[in-house]
Amino acid sequence: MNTFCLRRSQPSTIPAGFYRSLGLASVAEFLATKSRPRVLDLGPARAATVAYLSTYRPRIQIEDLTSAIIDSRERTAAPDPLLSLTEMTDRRPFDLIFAWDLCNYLSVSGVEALGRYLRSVSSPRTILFGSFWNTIEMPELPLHMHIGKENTLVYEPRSAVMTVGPRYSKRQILEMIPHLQIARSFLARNGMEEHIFTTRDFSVESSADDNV
Amino acid sequence: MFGKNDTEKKLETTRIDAARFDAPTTTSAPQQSASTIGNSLKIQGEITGAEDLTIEGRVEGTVTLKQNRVTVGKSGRVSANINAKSMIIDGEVTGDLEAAEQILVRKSGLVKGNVRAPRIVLEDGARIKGSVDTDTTENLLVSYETTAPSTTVNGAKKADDSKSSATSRSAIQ
Repeated sequence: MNTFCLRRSQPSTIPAGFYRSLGLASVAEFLATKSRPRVLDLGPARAATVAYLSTYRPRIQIEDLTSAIIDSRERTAAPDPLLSLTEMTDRRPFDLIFAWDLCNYLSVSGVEALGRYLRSVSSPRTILFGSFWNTIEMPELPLHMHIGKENTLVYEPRSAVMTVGPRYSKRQILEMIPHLQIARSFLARNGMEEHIFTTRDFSVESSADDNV
Repeated sequence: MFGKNDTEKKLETTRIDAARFDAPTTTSAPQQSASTIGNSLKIQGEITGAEDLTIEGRVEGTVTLKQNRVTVGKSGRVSANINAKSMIIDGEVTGDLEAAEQILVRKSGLVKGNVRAPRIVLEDGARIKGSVDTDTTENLLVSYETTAPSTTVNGAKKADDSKSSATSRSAIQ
């Protein structure tokens, strides 16, 4: 697997803003075919997300991995951010998973562990909407993001400090989360990449990676 | 004559006491007293009643106030399932929340459990770990069928509400 790119550009901060999200538009198309979808949001509780999804009568499970990652970076004694996920006993599959600006802040082993959990709560019909930084530098903490009007995503940095981004390529992401395949990719105006992942055929997966 | 006045006074007093527990019939928004569990109090058990409740202390058990509002204040620490007409969460709750109308989780609120209500309002910064469900149509039908088949959707008070009020007072330690 490729190592991180250490070439640095001029440091710059990410200003707050919004962009029209083609990934969100894809999600809207998907939800229109669902009745009472089960949605997993790996970010913090967001009124805008609840409001956006409410028209589809969903059941939204909130597992705030974003806050756990921030906590682990700010406190040396903080628990593993993935601990609460691995302790969950309810493994009923979700129809839709939101994973915005998360994997950039996890190590390779962390992304692989997250992938194992996501596989345990996915079915062949599950889709995942993820966003990743593909720039040399990224904010040191995950963005504060919420859904805006007309399929826009509004974002605001939690910190002005920048750090080197891992710049996971599509191939690397798929190697770390092998049960997923990329159905659509979009480049956002702020430098992030959005991916709509679908689930590969479970029947071709070996049972060796079923340990979560 | 004095005795007759005594009797009249007794009857009058009895009518006033009964009126406190009778369902009000003239107004659509009856004035109800509200109780507060102060921040030095700890209650373990089942809280039921027919009045609004503000929790600033610790509560463990269950809280059922289906016709009223429950407020968990900033210093409130609740380990209980709460079933109420509406809720405002400003403190910490570990348990499931179910409301017939609305649940508001303020920015300082923390909920570890499932949240279910037709309307759920989250302030920026509100923390929830659990599920959020705004589709309560099935649950509403079940709750009204099992408690009182004649109860209307507007929630006319039941005749045993007087017992419920007494229960809420006696449960407080």
